[in-house]
Amino acid sequence: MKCCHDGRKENIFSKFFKRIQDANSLQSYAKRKLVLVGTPNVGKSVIFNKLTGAYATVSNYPGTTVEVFRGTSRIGGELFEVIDTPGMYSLMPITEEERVTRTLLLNESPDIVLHVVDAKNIERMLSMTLQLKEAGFPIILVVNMMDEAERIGREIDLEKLSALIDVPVVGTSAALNRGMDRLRKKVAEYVKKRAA
Amino acid sequence: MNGEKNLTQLKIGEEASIARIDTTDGKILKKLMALGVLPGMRVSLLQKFPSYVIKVGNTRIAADETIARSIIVIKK
Amino acid sequence: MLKSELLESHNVFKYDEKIEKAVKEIEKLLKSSYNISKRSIALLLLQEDEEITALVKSRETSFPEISDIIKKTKMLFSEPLYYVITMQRQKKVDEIVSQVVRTRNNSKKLISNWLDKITVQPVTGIPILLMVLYFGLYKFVGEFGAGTLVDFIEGSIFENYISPWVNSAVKTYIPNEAIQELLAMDYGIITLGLRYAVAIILPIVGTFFLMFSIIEDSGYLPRLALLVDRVFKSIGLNGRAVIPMTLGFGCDTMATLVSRTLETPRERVIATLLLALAIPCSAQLGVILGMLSGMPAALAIWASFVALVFIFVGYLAAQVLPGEKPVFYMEIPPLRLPRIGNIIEKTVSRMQWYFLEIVPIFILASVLIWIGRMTGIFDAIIRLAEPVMMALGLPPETAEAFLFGFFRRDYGAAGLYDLKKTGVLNGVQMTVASVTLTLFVPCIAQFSVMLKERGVKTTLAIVAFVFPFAFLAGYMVNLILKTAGVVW
Repeated sequence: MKCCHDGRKENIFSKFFKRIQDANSLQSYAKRKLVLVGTPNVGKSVIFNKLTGAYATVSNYPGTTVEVFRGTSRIGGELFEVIDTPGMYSLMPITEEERVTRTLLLNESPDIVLHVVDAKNIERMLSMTLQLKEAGFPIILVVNMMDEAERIGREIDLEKLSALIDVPVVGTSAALNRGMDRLRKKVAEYVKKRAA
Repeated sequence: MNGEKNLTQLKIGEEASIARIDTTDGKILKKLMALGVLPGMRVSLLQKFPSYVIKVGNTRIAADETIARSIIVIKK
Repeated sequence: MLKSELLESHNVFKYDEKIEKAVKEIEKLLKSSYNISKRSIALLLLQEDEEITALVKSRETSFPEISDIIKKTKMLFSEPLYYVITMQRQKKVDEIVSQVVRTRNNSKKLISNWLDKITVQPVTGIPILLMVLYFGLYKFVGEFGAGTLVDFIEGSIFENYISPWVNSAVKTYIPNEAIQELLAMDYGIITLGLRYAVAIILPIVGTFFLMFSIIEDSGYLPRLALLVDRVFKSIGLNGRAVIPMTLGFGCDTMATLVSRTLETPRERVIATLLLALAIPCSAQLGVILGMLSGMPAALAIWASFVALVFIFVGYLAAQVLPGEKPVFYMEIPPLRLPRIGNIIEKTVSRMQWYFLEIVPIFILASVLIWIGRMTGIFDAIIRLAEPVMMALGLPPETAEAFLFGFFRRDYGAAGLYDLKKTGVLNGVQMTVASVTLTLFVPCIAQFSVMLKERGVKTTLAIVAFVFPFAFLAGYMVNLILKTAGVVW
C-alpha cells in the first residue's frame, strides 16, 4: 500500500501484477472457503461431488505433484469455494499427499473444515478430529457411511459424541444422499455463528 | 520371549494383540500408528501371499514382509 | 489474522502432566504468529515434525530454549514422544468411543463378502487381475482408445477433412514456404502438433482416465497393488507402480507423468528409466507387431529380448541406485460400485489438466522438427548415424527411421516397415532394428515430460544410459543371430 514512493518505478508490469493480486483478494472476499479433510476411502469425494455439482477443476498443488480438486457451492445463500484434499491420516504428515493437505490447511485459512470419517472405523479417525480441534481449525465432524455402520450392527450416539468432543457433528450416508441437507444447514449455521 | 512373535509367525486366521512396533524407521512407525495399528489393538492375519493382509478393527491393511515383521504381537 | 484464534484452548483434550508442562513452556516461547494454534505447534515440535521445526527455527530467537525443553521432555519417556502422544490421544478416543458406540450383533457380513475375498487371494485374484488389465487396459484403452477412436479421429476426421483443409488454406494465404511447413504439411504445428494432441493423445488419455477412475473409485487399486508387490520389489518398485508401468503400453508419455504418484524419488527414477527403455507404447507396438507378425521366430526373439532387458535393467537399477528401499502398505477398502457422476467428473477434470500440460509440448516438437529440417541439422545427424547403423549390420537408410522415431515413436517403426516392404531389410536386420528401436530413446513428448518431472540431470543421465545401451543391445542381437548362423 505504501509502495508508491517512486512513481516511475511502477511500470506496466507491476501494475499488471497488482491487478492480478487485487482480483485474487476480491475473489477470496467474495467466497468463503470450505475444506474437506479425512483419510482415503471415507467418501470425501462423494460429499465434494454432492456439494459442488458438476463444476470442478483439478490441479496440482503448487510445487508438488498432488491433485487437489476445487469447486464452488451455494450453502445457506452464501457462495463457498469447496476444496477436496488428498487423504490424510494425521496432522503430522508422512507422505507428500499429507504434506500438501496440511500446507493447504495452513495457507488457505478455511472458514470451515469438514472432517469426514467412516462410521465403521470411527475409533481410528477421531484422533485426527482431536488434532484438528487442538490446532484451532473451525471444524465440523461428518460421520459418513452411517448406513454401512448400521449394517454391521453399529449405533452411534452423535449428540453425545458432539457434546464429548465439543465439535458439531453430522451423520451422513453421502452415497445415498442421506444427511446432506442436514450437513448444509449445519455449515450455514456454523459460519453464521462464527461471523457473529 | 514371553510369547512375543512378529506378525509373519502367526498362522492364517489367527488373532493376537499388538505389543509394539519394532522398527528403526520412524516413518513406518508413524504410518502404522496413523493407520490404526496401535499397541493394545487386536489384530488378525488374513493372508500371507502374495502380500500380508491383516485386519485391525474394521480395517484391512495390506503390507509387505518388512512391515509385517515389524509388528510384534502377543498371542493370548 | 486467524479467526479461529478465539477458539483455541477451548475445551481441548489434555495430555499427561509431563507433556502439558512442556507444551505450556514452549507456547510461552512462541512469539511469532502461526496459522494454527500455538498448542498445536508445541505438540508438533515435541513430536519432531520436520517442517514445523524448520519453520519455528527460522522464526523464533528462542529456538535453542525450545530445543532444550524438547530434549528434557524426551528423557522423561522411554518411547519416542510421537508414540507417547499418539497413545494418550488414542486412549481418550477409546474412552469417547466406548461411550457413544454400541454394537448390537457382531455380524461381519459387510467385510467378508465373496467378491472382496476372491480379489485378494492369489488363486482367484491373479486371474481377475489379468482380466482387469487385459480388458480394462489392453482392450479398452489399448484397442478401443488407441485403436478404434484414434483411427476414427485421426484417420477419418483429421486426414480427410481437417488436414487437407488446413494445408490448402495455408498454401493459399501464406506465400512463404517455410512458414507453410511450420504451420501445416507433414510436420506442422497444426497438422502434427495439434493433431497429435487431439487425435492421438486425447482418446488414449480419456479412455485411460475413465478406466483409472473406475479402478480407483471401486476400491480395486490396493488389491491390484498387493498382488503384484512381490514381483515389483525385485525391480526396485513397490506394488503401487503397477499403474504407471501398465500404462506405458498405452502411452509412455502419460505413464511418465503418472509415475509422479510413486512415493520415493528413487522409485520415480526407476519407473521413468524403465518406461524410457523397455516399454514400447501402443503406437510403436502396433507397427512392430504388424511388421514382425509374418515371422513368429523374429517376434519371439524381439519380445523375449526386450522383456529380458526390462527385468535385467530393473534389477540392476534396484541394486545400484541409492535411497530407501520401497516398503508397501495400503489400506484395503471394501469394494464398492463406483458412482457414475464421480467418475465422469474426475475423468473430465483430469483430461482437462492433462491436455493443458501436453499441448505445449507437442507444439514445441513440431517447431523443433521444423528447425531441424530447415537448417539441415537432420541431414547432418542422419549422416553421422549411418556408420552406427552399419555396425549393427543395418543398411544406412535405417538412420532416418531412427531419427524420426524420436519425434514420433511409431514414425520410426513405420519407417522400418517401409524399408521392409521395399526389400531393403532382411529378417535378421528387421529383428535387430526392432529391438534397437524399441529400446532406443523415448519420443520427444516423453522426453519433455521426463525433463519436466525428473529434472535435467536425471533425464540426461537416463538418456546417456539408454542411448548406448540400445545400440549395444542391437549389436549383441546381431552378433548372436549371426554366430548362430540364422538366415531369414
